[in-house]
Amino acid sequence: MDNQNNNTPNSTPARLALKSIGRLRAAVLGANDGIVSTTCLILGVAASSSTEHVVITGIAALAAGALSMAVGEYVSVHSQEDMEQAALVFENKELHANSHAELDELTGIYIQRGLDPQLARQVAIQLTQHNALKAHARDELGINTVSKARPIQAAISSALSFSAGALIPIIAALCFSHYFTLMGIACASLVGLAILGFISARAGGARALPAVCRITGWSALAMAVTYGIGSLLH
Amino acid sequence: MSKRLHHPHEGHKIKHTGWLRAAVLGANDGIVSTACLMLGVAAAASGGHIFITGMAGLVAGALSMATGEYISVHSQQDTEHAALEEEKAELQDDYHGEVHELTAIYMRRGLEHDLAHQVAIQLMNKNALHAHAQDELGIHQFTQAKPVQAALSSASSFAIGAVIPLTAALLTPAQYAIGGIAITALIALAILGVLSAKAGGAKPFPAACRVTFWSALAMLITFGIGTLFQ
Repeated sequence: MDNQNNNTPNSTPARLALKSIGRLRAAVLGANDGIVSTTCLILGVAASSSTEHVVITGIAALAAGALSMAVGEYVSVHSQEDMEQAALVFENKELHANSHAELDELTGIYIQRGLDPQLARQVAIQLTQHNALKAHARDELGINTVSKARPIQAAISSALSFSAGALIPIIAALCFSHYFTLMGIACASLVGLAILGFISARAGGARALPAVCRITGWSALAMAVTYGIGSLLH
Repeated sequence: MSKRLHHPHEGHKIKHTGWLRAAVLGANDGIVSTACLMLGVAAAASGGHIFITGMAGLVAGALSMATGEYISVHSQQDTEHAALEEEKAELQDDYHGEVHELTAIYMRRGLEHDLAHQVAIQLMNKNALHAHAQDELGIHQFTQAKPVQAALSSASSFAIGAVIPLTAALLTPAQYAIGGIAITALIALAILGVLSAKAGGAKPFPAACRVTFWSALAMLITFGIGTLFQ
């Protein structure tokens, strides 16, 4: 760990990680999803019909998954933005129509957080003078203006990370010969997932081993379940 | 706080956007990826395995969503935890430095120095870690993540979404399957877009257009890629 007397507030790894957590989270989720869903799908289809269309199924899964991730992410980030915008517009109207009540509200929030009423009042007044909307957005709605959402960026990055993940089982399907195809795909994917878990835990400042166990354990279970359901349809 | 009672909507919708966002994302993903997958396979392998592929797509997608969501929420928790531990250690080692830090944060928000200093002292008297978590790290109590809940809700919303194109594939005659799947999926997506916009207090028309347009494009592209492998 760094020297704790360091005066710059954002210098430690865990804190830097917390700042970029949105991006990290999206990338990890995307790659994870790409590996797990493509592998599961291939295993499910192979168990129910034959191993002959494994690669085509995998490629269809890559395209479908990546595009769906992109659309979903784009739409959801956009809708989040819409909601925040709507909440801010509402708050703004409130501030104009009802500035006294809003001041009381901000005072109340700070009293609840542990200030004595007089001090809370002063704080509310000064915060309101500085930037009333920003103060209410942060303290009342929990919107930090720093974390502005970017729909297109989010869409492209999650589609790319999904595709990168999905390539692992597809390449494994191309590489392993007939008898070992399914085992090879499953193993390659689990190794990929373990590496991903390790990297993301490290990047997030958390311990690596539990993260790796979590990711491989649950993913292996997901694969086994899809394979089982596929064999039932056989 | 009593004012809250007069405005039940205020500050309310925004708090469950995390939940709503996950559910919408899950259902969306279920519809789009299952429809795309079936269209892609239908274009490549002419009929036959559409339903089985869609079924496998549903299970694979739902489980993958659950796993991914569980792990990512967990890793977010780990990261928040690590940051809080660091903060706790700093509070023990250098309480004065931390008071200065919080004072500086409140000065940046527009308070005078003396007032900001008093605020920092009183906030830290009540709960020092809590004050720093909220004002320095931006961790609010209501954004604290729950892995299992997140996993279950996104898996079930994915499965619900995926059932829609699957049902369309079952009900439409084989020669119209492709059109049936695509149209059913797009109608469902438009409805979902309207509902989620309404629930979030945003305008429904642009939201519905956005989701149907981009999803239609995604289906076209997957179908196109499928034809390449015919």
